[in-house]
Order: sequence, then structure tokens, then C-alpha cells
Amino acid sequence: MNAFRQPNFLALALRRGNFLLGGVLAGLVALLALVSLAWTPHSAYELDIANKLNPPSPTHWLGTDHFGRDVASMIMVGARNSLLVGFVAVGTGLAVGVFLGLWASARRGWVEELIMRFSDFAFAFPAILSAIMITAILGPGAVNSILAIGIFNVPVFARVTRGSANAIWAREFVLAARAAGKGHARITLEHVLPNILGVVVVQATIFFAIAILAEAALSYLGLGTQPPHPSWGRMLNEAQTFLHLSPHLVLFPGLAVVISVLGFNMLGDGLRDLLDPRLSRTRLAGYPR
Amino acid sequence: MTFPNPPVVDADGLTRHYMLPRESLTAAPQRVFALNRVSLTVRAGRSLGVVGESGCGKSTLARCVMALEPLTAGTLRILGKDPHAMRSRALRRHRQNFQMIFQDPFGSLDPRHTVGRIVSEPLEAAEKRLGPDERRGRVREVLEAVGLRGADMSKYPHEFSGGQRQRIAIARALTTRPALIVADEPVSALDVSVRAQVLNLLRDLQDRYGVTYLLISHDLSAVEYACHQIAVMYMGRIVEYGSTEAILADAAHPYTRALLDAVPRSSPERRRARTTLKGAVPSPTEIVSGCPFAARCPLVEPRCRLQAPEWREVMPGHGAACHLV
Amino acid sequence: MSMLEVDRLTVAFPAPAGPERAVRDVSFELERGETLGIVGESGCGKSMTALALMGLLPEGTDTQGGITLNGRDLRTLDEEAMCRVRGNAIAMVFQEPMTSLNPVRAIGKQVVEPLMLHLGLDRGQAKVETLSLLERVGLVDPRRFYAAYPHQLSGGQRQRAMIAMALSCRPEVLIADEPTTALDVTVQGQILDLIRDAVGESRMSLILISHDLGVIAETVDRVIVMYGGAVVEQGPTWDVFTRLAHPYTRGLFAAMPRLGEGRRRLRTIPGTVPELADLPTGCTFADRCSLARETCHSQPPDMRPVGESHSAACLRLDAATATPSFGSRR
Repeated sequence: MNAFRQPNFLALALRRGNFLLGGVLAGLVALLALVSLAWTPHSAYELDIANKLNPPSPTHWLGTDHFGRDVASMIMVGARNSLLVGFVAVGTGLAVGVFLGLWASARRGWVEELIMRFSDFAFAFPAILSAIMITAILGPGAVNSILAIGIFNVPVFARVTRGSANAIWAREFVLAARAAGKGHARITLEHVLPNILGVVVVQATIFFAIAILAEAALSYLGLGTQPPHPSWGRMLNEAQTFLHLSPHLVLFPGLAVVISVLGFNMLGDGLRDLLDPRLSRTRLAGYPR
Repeated sequence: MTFPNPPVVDADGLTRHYMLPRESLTAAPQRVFALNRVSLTVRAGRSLGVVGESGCGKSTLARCVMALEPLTAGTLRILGKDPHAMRSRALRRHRQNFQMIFQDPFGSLDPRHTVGRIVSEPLEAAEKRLGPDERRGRVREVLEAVGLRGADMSKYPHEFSGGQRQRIAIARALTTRPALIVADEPVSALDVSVRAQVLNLLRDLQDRYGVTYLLISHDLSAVEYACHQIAVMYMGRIVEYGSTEAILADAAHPYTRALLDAVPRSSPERRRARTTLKGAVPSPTEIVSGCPFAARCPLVEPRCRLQAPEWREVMPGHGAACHLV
Repeated sequence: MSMLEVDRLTVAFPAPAGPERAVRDVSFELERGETLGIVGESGCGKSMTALALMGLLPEGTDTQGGITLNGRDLRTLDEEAMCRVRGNAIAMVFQEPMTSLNPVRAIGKQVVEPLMLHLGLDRGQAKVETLSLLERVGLVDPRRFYAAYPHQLSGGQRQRAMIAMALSCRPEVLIADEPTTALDVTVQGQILDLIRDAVGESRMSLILISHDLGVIAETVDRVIVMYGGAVVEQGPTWDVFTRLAHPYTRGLFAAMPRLGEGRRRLRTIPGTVPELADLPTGCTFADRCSLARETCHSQPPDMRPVGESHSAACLRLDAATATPSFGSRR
């Protein structure tokens, strides 16, 4: 009786709200990062021991850390860092993963087996563990953490791409394209990719959130962005010691992580709902025939 | 009776077997005998209807003729050339001579492409020399030939009804001016009133362009209306073949007679006692030693179960595979 | 009073382009033991009428009019009471048995359940009853089918199992919505015979919904022709099929290829089915009708008598019936 499930309008509006709120939160983080390129309230690098561990005040909106650096500025620069890591890591995963997924789906047979067994293998390790492993081998640093997160993203995208692409390959219009004399590569580019793009974009947005979280975790462990560059994860790590003395040092970077992860997650969810034809189609489909 | 027209399709002993994936690690993989030594000829400008129930192999036949599925054995010639023996580049060029119409007018058109792009798809693959203006002209011509407007080119499939979509699919099959169109259940997804429009269109196009049809359908009345010859399939084999008139008036095979009798009539004067067949089509994974229809045949004799019937001619051009013919 | 009375049933779905009136002012009566066919093309409202009878329309649907079964207005019942009616007094068989059966439960279990629920049998009794039901619907060797899962059955066998489920609580009305559309022709006849026999044996009433005029002609006593959500013609099957009155019914007949008529050209109905959200003010069929006049476009037609208990909704009935109809072709 699925065909009769009418989209509930309240739910649809809420989902739209989801998308809007997600967009606003993610946009806010992106705005902070952009502004930080040109202007920050104070320098995020300058030490001012005299004013260390200040609580929030009109001069230092979010207070200062144990070296007297301005927390607001550090969070802004940290946002830049987080977004960059997210972009590059997800971009790498996306490019390689989507390519592998499309290839597996178009060629089937041993190519598909090989790619999918490789991604099974990668999936067998917990994500953060493999990221730690990779940074342990390559050494800590922003670039290596990007690489670690990116590599972890490859099988995710390969899998999602292959799954949706296989569904498209089974459709009759693909058969029609084959009957029209199109080769596998052209069918992939002209029919398969455009039809799975929505799914991939949604996946990318959600994994963006996960990448931000992973970067924060790696930096927290000291494997990610290295000092003196500010990073939310390391700010949290350093704030631990002063938790009782200056709780704002934990609060604000933590809040930044939560807001950006939540924002991108909601954005992805909202996008999924908007792009999913089964939910956005408000017409009653009648009997499945 | 002689046919002056050269054959467009010449199939000899087409066979298609494939393995099913194993149900468990220890189970032996099952083999599906989808198509067993099917031979047929369709001459230029004629249409052959292939009828049978689901699982009889008629769709497999369509896909094998379209070279969308490989053959296990047999040779196929379309305009004298075997698409299964060609290299992929040559095959792609040869495809302009044979095109296909599918059953589902909603599934067979890419929802993200415009009608113009959909209809010109076979052209792109076949005739790279065609310039964009010529291509657009050709698309407009075929759209108008199927009763749509040239301006529909820039629309998307979802803006059309089921019948109009099937017209778009027919236009796509016509763009390369093929000699053969294979139509797999082209009207069964359509409503009665629209079905008649599409059936009439298919016939008009044949009169106008001399295109040859291989029409696959479970609907005998549609096939009767659209086809010159009929082949009846059962379990991957052709069990009867002949002119439409001969089959309708004087069906030789008991299965054909049962099929004809099963079609519900819309004249309620006589509420007929149907001679219903027992059971359903057996699974195509079984090897049958005798006649494949023996298990359901109302006229079955002991020899039917032991010995496969040979092809016998009732009249020139009309034959059946049955011991009782 | 008839067993089932449907009085000016109207069903509308909320849609962005305004409410889609899938069913408009449909009225009919059904006596005990009577068989009624509803015929029409996709989107004509025949399935929605059936779902309204079952109280199975989706949330948010606006339903008006009365549905009375044995003097009880089903529209006033709450969901719990309606659940007791469904399966007990009215049962339904759907087009695609594979999607209406639970794929992970054995057939027997699915038949036993309503028996225990509605008739209050214990498990042992219910199983005995189930086995006899399975046998009755032609699933010989019922023990094997009792333990079988839906995917192990052929399409025809699944439809038989669905019918067994529908018959299990001896309903007074059986609604069969395109019960043979997904089946092969040779199996279709078996299933129609089964439905007809089952209905005849237990004096059930039948509502058979189909797009196939042949199926309707061979199975039911009385027929309703629907178009664009409304009834355009109704009457005894024999009457309607021999004295086609409404231009739409006539068009439908002319458009249908019939076996044995050779390659004579089919007459078609121009155009397509109207959008439910944007129905014309007058006759729904006017845009496609060759007999339509000014008035047809502005004034909705009412049902007018054609013969005894045979009526059609057409303002140009005289002109429509003036020409010979059956099998007439251009």
C-alpha cells in the first residue's frame, strides 16, 4: 500500500525547515571561515601571557586561552581549517570513490568484485582507527590527516555510487541506450551519472560533517593540524587541563564542532528529502500499474 | 505462396541458456533454458508477432535479436549480417538498422533528458556525420510522424501521458530509419483507448516507411491486428508458426488453441465454458524429454511424454511441433 | 433495502494544484449474491471506489457520501470497528498478490491468522479450516502450500492463496481489484472461474474491478462504466454490452482489438484522460467526444434511462444511440 502514502504536509514543511536550518548553520561556519581570511578580532597566533585565561569580555568576546590568544579568532581560523580538511578529504573520496563505483557498475564481473572486496576490507576497520593508523605511518600533520580521512571516504563513495548505479543500469532506458548503439562509457556519463548525482551530493554533504568531526578527533589526539595553527580539536585538547578554571575554553570550540556537524548533517538530510522523488512527488500515483 | 521480399531477420537455431546464481554454497547452480533452437524469418515490410505466456522466452528472443543478450548457439542475420559476430564498433554502427520499443513508457525514457535528446540518441551513435541542424530536422520529422509536435523536443518525459511517451519511444526507434523494429509488449502498459491509437500508429508507420516488425506480445488480439505472421512460443520453443489468418482460423497446436480460447470475449451472449488449461507454465530450468506441453495438454498421448515432436507442416507456411498434427 | 448501498460517494485528495477529485458522486446498490463489475481506464476512480468501501484510503483524503452495509453506515465507524468489517464482512483481492502477501511468512500462517482473529477459532481448528480452504481454491496438496512461502509459488498460485485469505472469514462482499491483470491468459481463466464459483457457492456478492471489457463481460451480472471519476453508464452486463449508450463506452468498445476481427482498422478515442485536478465543468468526456455540443461543455449530465435499469450520463443520448454501435468501425 506504499503508493498511497500521502506526503504529510507538516512533515514536508519540517523537512524543508531542516534543510533551511542546516543551510543557515553550515553557511554561518562557512562565513566565519571566509571572514577570517581578511579579518579576525585579534590575531589567532599572537601570545599575550598577561591576559591568559580571561573569561568572555567586550575586548575578547569568547575569552582568551592559556597563552592569552583570542578564542573567537582561533575559532574563526579553525573553521577555515576544518572546512578545508572537509573539502579536500571529501573531494578526494568523492572523485576516486565515484569513479571506482561507476567503473564497477559498468564493467561488472571481476572489476566489480575486486573494487567491492577492497572496500569491504577498508570497511572492516573502524574509521577513526584507520585514520590514526595512517597518520601514525605518515606522521601527524594537516595534509596527512586530510589524506587519512580522504582514503577512508573512498570506499564509502564507491559503495554508494555502485549501489545506485546498478539500479540505474537495470532501468529500461539504459537498455534503450544500449540498443541505440551507445557504449558503456557514454551510457555512464549520459544516463547513469546524472541520475545518481542527487544521491552522491547528499552523501557528500553528510560525509562533510563526518570529515569535520574526524579532523577534530585527529587534532584532539595530536595527529591532525599542528601548532601553531589553531584547530578546534586541539583547542579542546588543550582546554581539558583548565576545565574547572575556564570552562569557556571547552564550551566554544565544542559548540563550533557541534554547530558545523549538525549544520551539514541537516543540510544533507534536507537535500535528500528534497531530491528524493518519492517524497517530493505530491501527486497521488494511483495504483501501481 | 511466395514472398518476393528479402529477409530482414533470419534466425537459425537461436539458443540461449544461462546459469542462475547458486541458492546456497552447496547447491548445484540451476541452468535456465530460456531459448531453445528458435528459427524464424521475417521479410521486409512484414510483421511477425511472437506470442506466449510469461517465461516462454519471447522477451529473451527480442533481446537476443537486438544483440543485447549473448547467444549460446545459433546464428542470427539482420540484413545479412550477424550482430553477434561483430566487433563492438561495427555493431554499434549496424544498430542503426534495428531498433527497439520497450513495454514500459515510463521506464524506457531517461527522465533527465529532453525529448529531443532522447529521440536523437540512436542518431548520435550511428551517424556521427549528421550536423546539428540535420539532426534536429530528423527529430522533428519523426516526432511529427508519430503524431507529436516538433516543439515537444525541448520538453521532458514527465510532461507527457503514457500514450504520448510510447509515441516518443517509437519516434526514437524511427530516427535512424531502421529496417527492423523489435517491439517488446509495446501496448500492454497502455489503456484501451490509447492502445488503439498506438496500434494504428505502428501500422501506419509500416505502410509509410516499409519498416519490418518483430512484435512480442502476450495479447493475441493485438498481435492479430498488427501482424502478418504469428509464432507461438512455449518453454523457449516455437510450437506453431503461420500466417495470422491460418492461426486464427485453424490453429494446429493444442496450446495455440488453448491460448485462443482463454482470451475473454466481450460479447456476453454466450458465457462460454472455457477449456482451461491446468497448471501454469513449468519452470524453464527443467529439461523435458518429450513434448514440453505434454504436462498440460488436454490431448496428451503416451508418445508425447517420451519423444519430442518434430516440426510438421499443415500447409505451406503453416507448421506446428505436435505429434497430433 | 439492498445489502450494500453506496450513495453519492465522493473522494478527493489534497494536491498542490487543488483537490484531485478521484471519485465523484458515485452511487450504486449491491444485492446479496449479485455480481457487479466496475470497468474503466487507469485513473477513472474504480480502484479508489473500492478502497473507499474498504475504508483504506490514505490519511488526509476527503471522503463524502454514504456507504451502508446491511443498514450500518460504514463511514461513521471508527478504525477499530472498521477493522472488524474488513476481512469479516468485506474482503479484498488485489492485483499483485506478491506485494499483498507477507514475503517472510508461510502461506498457511497468513490464512490462519484472520481465522483466529475474526472467527475466534483456536490454532488447531484454524489449521484444519485453512487446509480445506487451500484445497477449495485449487491448491491441491494443501499441506505443501501451507508451509510454502510466497516466492515459492507461481503468480496464479499466489492469487489463489490471496483468494483463500479473502474467503477465510466468509465475507458478504468480495472486492476483486484487477485480480487477473498480472497473470497469464491461461491462468486468468482459472482464477476467474474460481472467483465466480466461490461467489456462487456461498451467496457472496462480488465487485469485480477491471480495465478488461472481456473479463467483465464473462464474469458479472451488472456493470458500471466509469470515466474521470464518475459513472457514465450502468446496467445489466448483457444490456450495456449490446446496447452501448454512452459515447465513451462505445468508443472503448470500438478501440479494443477483438480476436477474429483481423486487420480491420481500430477506431480510436482522440486525446487522453483528463487531469483529476482540472476537470471540465460540463461532461468530463466532452473534450474527446465527437457528439459534444455547447451544452456538453457547460452542463454536467445526469443519469438518464436507456432501458430497464440501464442508464447513462449523457446529454446527447439520442444522437449517441441513433447509430449502430457494436463492433462498428471506420
